[in-house]
Amino acid sequence: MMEQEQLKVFMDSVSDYFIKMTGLPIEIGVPYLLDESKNILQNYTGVIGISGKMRGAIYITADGDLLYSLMLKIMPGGQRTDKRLVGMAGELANTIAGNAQKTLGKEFYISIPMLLTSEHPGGMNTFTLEAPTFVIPLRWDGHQASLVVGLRK
Amino acid sequence: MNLLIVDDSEIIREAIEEWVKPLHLNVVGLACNGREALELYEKTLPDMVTLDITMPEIDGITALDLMLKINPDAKIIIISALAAKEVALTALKKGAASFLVKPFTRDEIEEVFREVLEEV
Repeated sequence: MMEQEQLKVFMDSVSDYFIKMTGLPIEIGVPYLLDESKNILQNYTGVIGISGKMRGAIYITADGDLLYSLMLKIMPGGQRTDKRLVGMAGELANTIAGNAQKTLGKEFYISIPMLLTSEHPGGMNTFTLEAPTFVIPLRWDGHQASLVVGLRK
Repeated sequence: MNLLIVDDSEIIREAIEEWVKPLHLNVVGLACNGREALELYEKTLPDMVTLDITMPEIDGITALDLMLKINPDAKIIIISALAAKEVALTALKKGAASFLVKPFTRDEIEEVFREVLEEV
């Protein structure tokens, strides 16, 4: 089962990402257990499968405005396309998961990102979110997103 | 100096291409996986490569080995989200010129490139 300290690793990772890349802190809400009967997926989602000492998956789901604002911090003037927005979600999930390896150890293996859009949501079942799965609410630059963590040892 | 940029993220490939412009490098190719990277590497024989680790088809560590077998003098900068110290040490022991952990800023990538270019 996932411990509170391990959940904090991902919260710190997402916080560090936004501070470093945007200079603006991200607001992190209180984590809660995922209710699978409710759809929390937003328009763009990046999923990372986890294997090794822990298994399961993590994902970032966000709306296009958040991802576009973030993308502009990296590529000022960049054109807004679905491909770029979902790519941004994938890169964000990849970086958050990869950075967690610093604390969780080298045997915390991450997959390449799986990218999902609201129009093409298939593929979420490729990775298994282990129970208990936590949803971490995020708010940045006026936009909502969620970091979802479902891992077990 | 010819540069090959390898990352499965389009945004990262484009950011690196844009951010190294002040260094006046000649970008000879952009690759989104290890197999495409090796094909472009053999075709263009770049002096420098930025190489991601977690990629489809062939991972960056395997690609690093194969690239250095083709040209041991190539300067290969690993740019990865993987932050475990052991991952960086493995890459450096295998012959990577430098290791940069994502996320990275424009200043950080310029600094890494300048350090590697000084060695050339």
